[in-house]
Amino acid sequence: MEIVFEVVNRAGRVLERHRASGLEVTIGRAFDNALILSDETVSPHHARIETNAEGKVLLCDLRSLNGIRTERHERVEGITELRSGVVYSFGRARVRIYSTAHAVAETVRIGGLDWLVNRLSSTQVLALIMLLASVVAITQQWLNTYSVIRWQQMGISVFAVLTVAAVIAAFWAIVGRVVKHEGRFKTHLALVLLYLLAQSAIYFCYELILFNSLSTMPSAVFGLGLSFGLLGTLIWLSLHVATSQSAAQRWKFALGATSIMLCLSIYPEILERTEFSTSPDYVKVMKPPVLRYSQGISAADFVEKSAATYGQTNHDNEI
Amino acid sequence: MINLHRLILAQLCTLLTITISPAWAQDATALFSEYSNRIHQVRIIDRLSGKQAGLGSGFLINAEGLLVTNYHVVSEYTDHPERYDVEFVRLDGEKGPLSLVKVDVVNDLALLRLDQAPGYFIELATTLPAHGESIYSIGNPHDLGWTVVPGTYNGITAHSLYERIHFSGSVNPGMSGGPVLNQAGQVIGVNVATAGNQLSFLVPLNRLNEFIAQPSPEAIELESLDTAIATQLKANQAEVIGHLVNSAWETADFGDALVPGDMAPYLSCWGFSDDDPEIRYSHSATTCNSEEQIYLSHDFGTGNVAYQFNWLETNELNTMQFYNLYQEKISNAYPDNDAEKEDVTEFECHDDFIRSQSLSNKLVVTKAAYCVREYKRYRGLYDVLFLAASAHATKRALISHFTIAGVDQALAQKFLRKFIASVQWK
Repeated sequence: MEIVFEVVNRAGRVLERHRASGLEVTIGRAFDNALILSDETVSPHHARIETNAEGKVLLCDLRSLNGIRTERHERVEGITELRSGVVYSFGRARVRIYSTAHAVAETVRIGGLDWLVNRLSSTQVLALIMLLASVVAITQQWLNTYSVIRWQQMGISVFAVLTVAAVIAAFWAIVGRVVKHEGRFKTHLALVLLYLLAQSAIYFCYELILFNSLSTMPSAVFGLGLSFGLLGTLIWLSLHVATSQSAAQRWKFALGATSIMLCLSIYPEILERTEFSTSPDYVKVMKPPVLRYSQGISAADFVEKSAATYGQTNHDNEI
Repeated sequence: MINLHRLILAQLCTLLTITISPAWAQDATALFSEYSNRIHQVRIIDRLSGKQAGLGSGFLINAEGLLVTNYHVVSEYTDHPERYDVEFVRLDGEKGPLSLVKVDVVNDLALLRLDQAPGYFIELATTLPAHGESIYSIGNPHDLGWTVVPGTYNGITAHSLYERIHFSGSVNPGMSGGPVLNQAGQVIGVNVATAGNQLSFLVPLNRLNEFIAQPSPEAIELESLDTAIATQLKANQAEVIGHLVNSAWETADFGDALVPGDMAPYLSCWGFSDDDPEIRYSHSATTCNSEEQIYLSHDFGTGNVAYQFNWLETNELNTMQFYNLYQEKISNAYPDNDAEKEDVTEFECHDDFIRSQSLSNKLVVTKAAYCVREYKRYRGLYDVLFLAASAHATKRALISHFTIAGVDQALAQKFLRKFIASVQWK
């Protein structure tokens, strides 16, 4: 008889794996056992596994102090048939016991996702992404500088972007190190920088739509929707790299985390809108003529449409 | 011989000066002691605590016990009559209640009545003083005791929207509502405001006469006070804005455009140019403002008109940089008057692009926003704000803006139409 033992923690993570063979296999705290469990609640000779005349594998309680329990907290009295793949608790120690004939799941082919993630961890690709992010950061700062340009100051935005990305990547690397014993900092850095680039592209598109439509609601919905999708993708990918969650767990976690972060970021805006304000809320975006497609309405039409505002004033002042 | 004559003449002159100066000072004190019982302190008492919440001065104008003061002295009472009482305090310490008869917010006047008419009062003059004549402002500044502030009459302020007498003397808070007397002891004006440092403004006699002449009820119905004030405001803005809309506006060159210059003599205009040596664009502006507001309450004013033009251009920045700068410059349009949540709704805005033709038949596109908020207690009156930003040129831009406080829909629409039409690219 050959038995495989997996000592697991409460989360189900495998801490140790042992194989034992023989006519009978003993479990306990004493050092003459096949499986030695060092938790103080385990009796020196806690249990024994043996095969009977018909070839069934049996688990016997050797009159241990704290007993043996199954996953459903049922106490094993005396002798019971051993079920493969089940977690038994010997005192506080949890052990999953497999017979060597236990079936394993189908092999999973390495997908495009893994290929992508591996590409991202290469140093050349990371260097390229960092260069791209720096160029975009400097360009944005340069486009927002209207006085004499001091090149020392131009470095500030690059420094800011790289620092923020490094901090977030470090966070994920720590998670990865704790869960999977591998940090993969470079991969996370690449992912965060790509996210920041995509997010600024979304913001630019949002401003463009706001400028051309001159209405806040549709552009805000567009911007928030895309941002939600992008942030969710980043978190989902980061979880894939850093943890060993199942796909279902990853989806739930990513959705939850993204929703919370998005709510936190629009909360100040909502607070502001519920308070009384004396400043008028007109569209405050201006883009070059080449980015505008509307040719406008006549002045007479504008004056007529403006007449509708008088009746739209809200006298309750609550939202 | 000649020297002796000169000596005697000099002596005589000195003698004369010595006698005249104290007489001039004595005039003021004599004046005051004669009328001291006809001028009262007006106090607003908070009912809950029994303590004074506001104070000013007032004076009796007829034998029936009618007393004149400023509207802003009693505005806390008119806003919340259930919370306050109005009382008078005489120089000898005697107190008594005052009941409100009527108000004029445009001229900042209020008429109140004493329960028991004392029978004496101050006469109103029949003519205004001569330019340079001595006049005396009387009141109780900072609750420190009765004061006579002598000064000079300098005529009705030139370029004033709401006619005021220009007085070079220091009127202090607490003197609001007190009378201004000529040398014969007759009222020629009412204290209303100070601009600090020997410069003050008074409501002139003719406005006071008009106010008193209007029919007065026995006692005011406070529920109808809002309607009365709304009517006064609407009549006033119909006159002021109506006049603006119907007059011809002179045009001025501004950047690549022609814009309205001075619309009216009571608007004061200022020019501005950004001369920071580090900026890589040029920015100049003209701002015109009526500078006078009608006081409705401590945090709520109305009645002012303002407009502004900004010209931006660059040779050094590229188009994207210029438009990022431009975006910053259009983000700060605000109304000019103070108002709180109890007074007005929030602004409702309408944004659109307007297309038009320049004077040389080129296409002009402008991003325009028109915003409106209504007065809660005076329905039908609005604060309006307009902001237009040219959107067709790559490195040159014109921002036009106006804001009017307290105007009705019909006139506001006319003003908007006229303003848009009067801004033209060359």
